[in-house]
Amino acid sequence: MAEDQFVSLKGKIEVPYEWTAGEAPGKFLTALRDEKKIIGARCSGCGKVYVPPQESCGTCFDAKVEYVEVKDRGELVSFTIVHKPLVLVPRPLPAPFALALIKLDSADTAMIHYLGEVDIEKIRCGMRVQAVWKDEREGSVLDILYFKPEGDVA
Amino acid sequence: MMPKPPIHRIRGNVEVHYEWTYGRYASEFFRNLKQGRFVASRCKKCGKLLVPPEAVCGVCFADTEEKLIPVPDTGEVITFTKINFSYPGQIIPPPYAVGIIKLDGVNTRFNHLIKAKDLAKIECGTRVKAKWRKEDEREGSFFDIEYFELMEDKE
Amino acid sequence: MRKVAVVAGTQSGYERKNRSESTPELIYRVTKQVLKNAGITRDEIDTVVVGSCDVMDGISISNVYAVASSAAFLKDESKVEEDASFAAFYAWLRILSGAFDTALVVAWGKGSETEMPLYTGLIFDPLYQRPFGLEAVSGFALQAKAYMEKYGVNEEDAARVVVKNRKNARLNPYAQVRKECSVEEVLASEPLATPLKKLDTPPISDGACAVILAEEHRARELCENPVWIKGAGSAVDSYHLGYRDLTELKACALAAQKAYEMAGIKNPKKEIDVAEVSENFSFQEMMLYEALGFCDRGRGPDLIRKGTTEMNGALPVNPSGGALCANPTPATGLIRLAEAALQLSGQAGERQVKNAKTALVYGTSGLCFQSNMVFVLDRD
Repeated sequence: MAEDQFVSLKGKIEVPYEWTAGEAPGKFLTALRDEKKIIGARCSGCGKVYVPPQESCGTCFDAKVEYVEVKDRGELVSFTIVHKPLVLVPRPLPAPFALALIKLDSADTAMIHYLGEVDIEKIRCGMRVQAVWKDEREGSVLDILYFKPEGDVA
Repeated sequence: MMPKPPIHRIRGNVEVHYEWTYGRYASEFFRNLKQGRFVASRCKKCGKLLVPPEAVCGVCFADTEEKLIPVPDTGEVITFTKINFSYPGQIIPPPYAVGIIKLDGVNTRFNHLIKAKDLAKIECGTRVKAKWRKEDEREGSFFDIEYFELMEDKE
Repeated sequence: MRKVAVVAGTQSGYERKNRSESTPELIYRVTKQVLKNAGITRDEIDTVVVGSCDVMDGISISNVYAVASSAAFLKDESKVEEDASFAAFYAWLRILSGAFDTALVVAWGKGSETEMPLYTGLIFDPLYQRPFGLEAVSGFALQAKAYMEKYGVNEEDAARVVVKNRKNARLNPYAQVRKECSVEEVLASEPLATPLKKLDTPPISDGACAVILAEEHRARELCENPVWIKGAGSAVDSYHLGYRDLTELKACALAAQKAYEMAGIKNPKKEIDVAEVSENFSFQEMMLYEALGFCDRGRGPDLIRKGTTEMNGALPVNPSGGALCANPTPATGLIRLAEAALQLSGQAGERQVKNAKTALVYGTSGLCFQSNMVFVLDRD
């Protein structure tokens, strides 16, 4: 029996955006592109350093932030090995790949990134990792290709 | 080399895919459009006709009858506007008119394109009739009606 | 402060793909049913609050499309675009204000009509997180891993949560996933984003839920067993996953604290008879035991191992099967409220927890419990 065509209607919604980056993301992305540097925001109230940066501290709200450079290396807070990617985006590595929360040295928060040049079976929380930068950068979090284990540890 | 300006704006887009369920009433409606006719649902409480047909009459919050009722493909223009500008996703190039059409005997209304030899002749209350596509061109969509044309243009 | 009760509720029943009803038809069915259950007409509803999600429905302002079906024509009506436990909260507040005496709360979601990972992916901001193609499973996986790491929780413990909830769902005629499973089957299921495997994750669901709230006098007129909203609390945490300690569930604990204080609960483990929580994923249910005060931090696995949260345990959690057995986002939190109300009014059928007098309801929005809504319900 032929399938009834009047059961459902396929469609898609595609909406273009042009977001204003804002002061903190603007500085962060520009520094990634032009200086291979990672910028955090230090709250003048509590001293917490947010990476990636935002313009205000959730706790202090009124206090100003100043933008500081943080190291491009740090510690693995958590990770997941993605076996079945559910959202298709350009990626530097095929599945299974590791997505991680990385707390850079002198930052108080963790940022999301990929882990690369690593045996996924050997990934451990607390591991030290460092950024691998792209030569051609556009001002995106993907200007860092991924983080790899620091030094010789593989 | 010129330094690039600091980043202020970021472009991107959001794309989500859907598969909307018609439900019984929309199913019947589009099936009938493919066959070249309009059908309406009738409210069990107030007796008014709804096109497009729905399971519920919103005014009464009551069921509509299960059997859908054929209605004429003639009616009147309730309101309209003439589109003179272009925009992405436009179905036909401007200038054209789009309006809210009320079919004869039906309480609710719907949008459609209105074509006229002279767009200036379109007014609120103008009588219109559906211009159906050829049977083999109909797919079961609102565009099985190519547009509504002025009755006076047909004569 | 006025007393407000849940006087009626209904659920559509949940399934992977409801291709026989359009969204408005689904909404109409539950709205009609809940009015019938309450024994009132829509004229006696003062305000309508809907819980729906524009991106899920593919309609900006998804409630305007549902006006006729949700009995909202020419009525006071608004929408909460978050988990529908917040729609119930908002409706409760509207009645507390004195401006309204009765409220209809209706929530729906048809996960089959969109691509859930695209939808949950959009929760992530375009600049810092979305480029990684994160969505709910990978986000909650990062949280689950951190939890395992901090407290030595293992995948078997999480699997036991799935086994429990699925066993419970067998007795829930509304639930979608009603097939029991074993710990081994959970552990052997397809790895998605470690440590989450397919059976650790909620299903994609279609369904709707509606409840009617009323202030005290009206509530007593309308039903024999009004279920009182004794306490409510909500709190929201930082947005970026890396800004929070994902194991702490700070805002969840705060929301619970507020609700307990309002309800006069000093020892939730002893005083709560049944809990319906939007756990979403297996590990996360144990994290909620801790944040909601059922046990100390890190001791969530003890409760599942000892059977404390089983149907015949000291504090049954998710007798309905929870979100792991039906998850029509964003209706999930309202379903928890409806289920808890069934428990307290003695109408929970085979999944009834005996003599349940005080219930805890938990709903959440956003990733990894960013936004939290806690209710304490009780009965006379």
